[in-house]
Amino acid sequence: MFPIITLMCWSILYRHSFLWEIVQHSIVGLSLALILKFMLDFIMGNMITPILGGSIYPAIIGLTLGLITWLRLAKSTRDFSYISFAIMTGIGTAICAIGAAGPQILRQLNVASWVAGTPVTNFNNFIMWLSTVATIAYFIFTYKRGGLAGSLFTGLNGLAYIGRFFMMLAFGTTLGSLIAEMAIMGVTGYAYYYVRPPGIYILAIGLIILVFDISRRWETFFYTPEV
Amino acid sequence: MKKKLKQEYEDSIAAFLFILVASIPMAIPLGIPIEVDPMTIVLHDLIEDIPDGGIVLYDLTILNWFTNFQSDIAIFKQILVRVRAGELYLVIMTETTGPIMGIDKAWDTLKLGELDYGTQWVYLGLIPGGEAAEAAVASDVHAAKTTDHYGTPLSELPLMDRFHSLEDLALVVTGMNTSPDPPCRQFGGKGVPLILQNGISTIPLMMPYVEAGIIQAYMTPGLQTAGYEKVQGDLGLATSFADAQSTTVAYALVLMLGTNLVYHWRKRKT
Amino acid sequence: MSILRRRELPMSLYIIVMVYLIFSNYTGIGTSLAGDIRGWGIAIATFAGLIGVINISYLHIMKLYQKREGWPYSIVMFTCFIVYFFAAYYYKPGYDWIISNLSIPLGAAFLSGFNTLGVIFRGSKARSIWSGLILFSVIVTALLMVSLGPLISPSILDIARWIKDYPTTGVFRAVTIGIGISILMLVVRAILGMEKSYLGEL
Repeated sequence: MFPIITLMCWSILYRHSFLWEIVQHSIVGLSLALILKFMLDFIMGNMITPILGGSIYPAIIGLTLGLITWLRLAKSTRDFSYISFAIMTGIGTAICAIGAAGPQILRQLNVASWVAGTPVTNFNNFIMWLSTVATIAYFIFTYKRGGLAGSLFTGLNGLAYIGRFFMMLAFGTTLGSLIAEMAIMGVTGYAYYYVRPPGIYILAIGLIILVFDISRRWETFFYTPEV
Repeated sequence: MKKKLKQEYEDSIAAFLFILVASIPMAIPLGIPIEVDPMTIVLHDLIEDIPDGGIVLYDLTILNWFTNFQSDIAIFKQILVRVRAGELYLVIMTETTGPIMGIDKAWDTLKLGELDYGTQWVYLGLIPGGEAAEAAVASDVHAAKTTDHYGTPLSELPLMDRFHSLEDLALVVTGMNTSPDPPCRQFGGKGVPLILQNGISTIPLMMPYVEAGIIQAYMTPGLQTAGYEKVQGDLGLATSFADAQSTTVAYALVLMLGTNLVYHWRKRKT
Repeated sequence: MSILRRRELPMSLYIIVMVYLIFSNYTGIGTSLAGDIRGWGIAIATFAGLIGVINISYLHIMKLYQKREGWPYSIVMFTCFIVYFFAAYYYKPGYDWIISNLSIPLGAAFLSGFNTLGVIFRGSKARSIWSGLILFSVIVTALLMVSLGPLISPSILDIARWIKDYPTTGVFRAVTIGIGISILMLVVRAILGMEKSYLGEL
């Protein structure tokens, strides 16, 4: 099935076809079924069963708040659903804020020494500090040249310029990593199945159909540019 | 006027060549040597050095079978060796429905059926809510979920008597493919080692946390997992993909350089 | 009932819940109730996830009812939905087959990285020194991540590793700090009543 599903998904790379629509709707159906099954199991196991077993609090409140979210589905009752969403958003904000203070701010402010190690280590630590400070300067302290702030904080503008240099390197690293990830995402796995039997036979049939369709629609691949 | 190929078909040709370049090494392995990343050794040693009796929480957030999940399987294999030896205990949770399918498919590969369920390992199953689920598990897992994946109350599972919150854990491993911020916020910096299995493109995002000591080690799919399989001596799918990854990256770089050369040559002409 | 419709009630609940959880975390007071509140958040998330299921089902039912373009595919969707749902509960071999042969390959094929190809050969033209710098960093990093890299040149990899370990880490450290500060500013905005995105307002 792997090769068949693969070719059906990848048919979109050639053109929009019924094969693509079938797989698109299939995955929606399968995903919905899976979500429904496991969410229902979660509700049964963690809310309904404790309530029926006598342990009403706190499951009853969770169940009530959860059911209130469904009031969103009707226009007349939509306003009531904001109660549940507000509580969920408040919980999420609190959780993020509690976690952000330590790992995302305080622990990131540690600076390794510029003098304690070997010259290379010291230089590297300095570069790391400089890239951090320069990036912050770029986002927060970039001033328009010529204005009062611009002339007072010329140094910070210079630091922002250095920050741009480091940011180009960092974004290039990110894109390079993305290319390496793209290289392995999906294609290599499928290639494993359709370069050997029986996938190779399905691939051969797919290629024959492709060549036939290309020859049939050859003229539609080109256009005459406007002068 | 001369006809030109439509843009969408230019994309199609590029994609077709991409598939071709990925497929050839799968049929004819090139045998490019695989170097083991230093981070892989750190990760391997971290798992080996967990004190006996420790509980490992494995939090799965995504199913990407050919890439991230192969890394998860490799890490699982190392942990399960110690679980079978009675040295470690494993608790698995998922935040989305995808990894549940992955666990089902990898069941025989990981030989989970041979373990003593409830004593050696527990499968908590789906705990929805993303970061809220992680926070709930970190503070009080019994309040986050009252039953396991099979509907058994946690109170009936001996292993769960020892695991109530993050402090009871010896290691947390999170399998994901997005920003590392949520698990670092909820599990990191609290005295429990954290390993992240994450996408290759998230390495720059993870580096600040690695530098700050929040993440002790990370694993990425592709070459790093192939190196990890080499260290473990158990070659899997990731090793098979290493050659294909090299050729497809080479193709992408040739495409990039070629585009730039043509662009600058045309610019010079005009 | 009108009081339940007013914006002030959800805004108040938002602030109260948020402040209580933060207070409980840093003082250790009321941790039991805080744990219950976190559990309620998971419960709400579960039901909110089911809203998606209901919405998509409704859209496809209306598509079938009104016979809009592409309506036969909605039958495909509902067939897969019903078959998979009942197999999950009543027929385990079928459920296992669907996972191995349909769900996993479908999910992975949809994630294939072809969209990045367009970025590569259209968006990567080096028009200035800055974009040339990005291009250089892209090339050395991509080579670092594959087994081909050491065969081409170990010194290129040393440069790539240095770029990854020092300048990139520094830049993303600044980004991480910025994210952390933004989250704390969100708390301040919420307390001041300026945060209303959860109410559907900007």
